[in-house]
Amino acid sequence: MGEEGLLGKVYNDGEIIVQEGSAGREMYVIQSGKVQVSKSMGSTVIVLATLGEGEVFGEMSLIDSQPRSATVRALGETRVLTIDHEAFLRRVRSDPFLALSILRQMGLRIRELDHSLSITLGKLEEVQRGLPQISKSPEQAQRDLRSKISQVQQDLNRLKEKLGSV
Amino acid sequence: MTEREHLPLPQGAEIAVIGGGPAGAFFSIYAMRLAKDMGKKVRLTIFDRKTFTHQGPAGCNMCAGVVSESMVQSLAIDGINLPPSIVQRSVDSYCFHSSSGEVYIRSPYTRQRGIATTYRGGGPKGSEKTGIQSFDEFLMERAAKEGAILDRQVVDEIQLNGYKPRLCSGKKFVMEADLLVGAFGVNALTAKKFEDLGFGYTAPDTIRATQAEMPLGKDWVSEHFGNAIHVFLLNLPGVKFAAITPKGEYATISLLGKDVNQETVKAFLSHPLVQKMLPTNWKLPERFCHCFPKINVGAACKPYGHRIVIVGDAASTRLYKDGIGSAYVTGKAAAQVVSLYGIGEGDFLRHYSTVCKEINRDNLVGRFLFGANDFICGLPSLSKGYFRTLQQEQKDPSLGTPHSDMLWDMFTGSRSYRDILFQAISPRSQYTMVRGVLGALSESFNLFSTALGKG
Ligand SMILES: Cc1cc2nc3c(=O)[nH]c(=O)nc-3n(C[C@H](O)[C@H](O)[C@H](O)COP(=O)(O)OP(=O)(O)OC[C@H]3O[C@@H](n4cnc5c(N)ncnc54)[C@H](O)[C@@H]3O)c2cc1C
Repeated sequence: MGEEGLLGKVYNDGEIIVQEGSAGREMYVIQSGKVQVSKSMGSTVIVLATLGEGEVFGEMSLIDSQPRSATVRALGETRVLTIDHEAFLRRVRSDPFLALSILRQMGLRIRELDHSLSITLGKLEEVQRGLPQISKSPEQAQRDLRSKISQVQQDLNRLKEKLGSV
Repeated sequence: MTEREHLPLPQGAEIAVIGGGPAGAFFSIYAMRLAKDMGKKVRLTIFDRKTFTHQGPAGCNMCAGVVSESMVQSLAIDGINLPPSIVQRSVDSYCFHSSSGEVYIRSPYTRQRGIATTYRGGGPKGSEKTGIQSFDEFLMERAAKEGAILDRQVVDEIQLNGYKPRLCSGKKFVMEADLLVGAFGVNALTAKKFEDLGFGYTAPDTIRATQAEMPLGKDWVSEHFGNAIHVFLLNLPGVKFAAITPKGEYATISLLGKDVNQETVKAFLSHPLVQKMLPTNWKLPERFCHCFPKINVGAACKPYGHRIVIVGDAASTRLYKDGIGSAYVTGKAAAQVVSLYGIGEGDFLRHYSTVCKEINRDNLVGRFLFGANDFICGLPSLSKGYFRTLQQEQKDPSLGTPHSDMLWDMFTGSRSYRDILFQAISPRSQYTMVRGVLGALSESFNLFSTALGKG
């Protein structure tokens, strides 16, 4: 089946779907293609996640009214279905279970984050425990510490990527 | 409290769902999900003799197959995304044709192709090679994924004389169910079997509809029908609603009304406004896929009993619109009641009958709105003014599009009829409408005086 069967709206490669800091209360569901979620930190842009078909973004905005916390742009040609905020609220009035579906998705993300955070904190603790060893065998301890710090660094980066909700 | 008043769904319950159309599938998907959430084991079997993979009416639940904007969005939120193999065409607008003009109305909310046109079965007769996939089969597969058992046989006997409903097929005992779910629609004889059980159910009133598939070819359909559903407000005798829905290689004609038949299809096709959309001298082939399904235009009486609940068309559905959406609403609501409250008659009375009553009440307003729309379209000056207002709104949406939004909501089923009525009687809507009608009247007056002058 061709393009005529795809739902939603087409975004071209690089086109911004959601702009960090902007107002907006819609949620999006990717029908085809991929999107990149990124966040500006001063002058650097950190890529938080790449999302694909069937995945959602912007779900927090359906519930709270905060400005968008990240930018989402299309990676290649992408088709995205917009979930209208006002219609969602009307539907939730008669079908509260719809809100539960959103909460379930948010819950999944929070669980993943919790898991990653606990692993990273565990590693940090190991680093702390290694500090007194430095005085006994400084070279070996430094090597160990460097490798652990780089591991923690990698974990933290991965954790940032998982913060994919906009 | 007696068991009849309140009976929680027991652990290990046997649930029998009669009918694997949208209502049966939605009930099953949500009942299975909720049972899992609540740590309950259930065995749910969906009975339907159809497989929905055959071409033609025998493998199809016979409708235009439009999955509304709100339905597409609700399903996406619930993690059910319609793949392009199911969606024949994604639609972003409705085009209204009348003798007073033509107006395209785009989705006022999200400005996207948010409506799906689908086939309920394996596609029209003769479409074997096109690889069409069925919407109903897709939903059945989703239900199976949630753990439902699909049993492709017809249930032709139900007994209530014992403790639990007993089902038979071809004189053979099939099962004894803790809960019986009737999702049999309005096109089978099953309703009579439920009426005969004597718990107070009576099937809703129906009228005949007709559907015909026009094999126009993909290019023609794309070029002339585009991504819009075409509604014809033609005042044809006996026709309440006429539309053409674009699909891949075909466009589907749907006519609702009293005693519509093949002659009505011919009359519709020979109307100049319809002819305009078709190739010159085009005629339906000798053998074409068509059907005469019934459509629910009333409401069932008491769609529940002790250990029995009825969902979808067989219970209550929105008047003329979004029947699949109503199957979702009633199917999901019944699944919630079963899982959260129970399967006793009292449980359904307290928590399910209200959902059906809400639809029925709203339909009363819907009846009035469709009547008003017919009235406006039947009076040339009023109709001209109405279309002029709509065209102006679409030309310059920055000034607001209240009438377009109302028409959109009415024909797509995006809002309740009550909400639409409140919008219709708002002073702003009244003002723009009166302005449009006055414009049309003065135009007619000018034409009349010019004609008189010439005379
Ligand atoms: C002409 C026309 C056009 C329409 N267009 C649209 C549209 O574009 N969009 C929309 O949303 N709605 C539309 N509708 C309405 C829509 O078709 C219905 O609202 C919808 O199909 C209801 O779903 P359901 O599951 O309740 O019933 P059905 O879809 O009728 O399903 C009932 C199922 O039960 C099975 N069954 C019945 N008895 C038994 C038995 N004893 N044993 C086993 N199985 C049994 C049948 O085989 C069938 O599969 C249209 C209706 C008509 C008539």
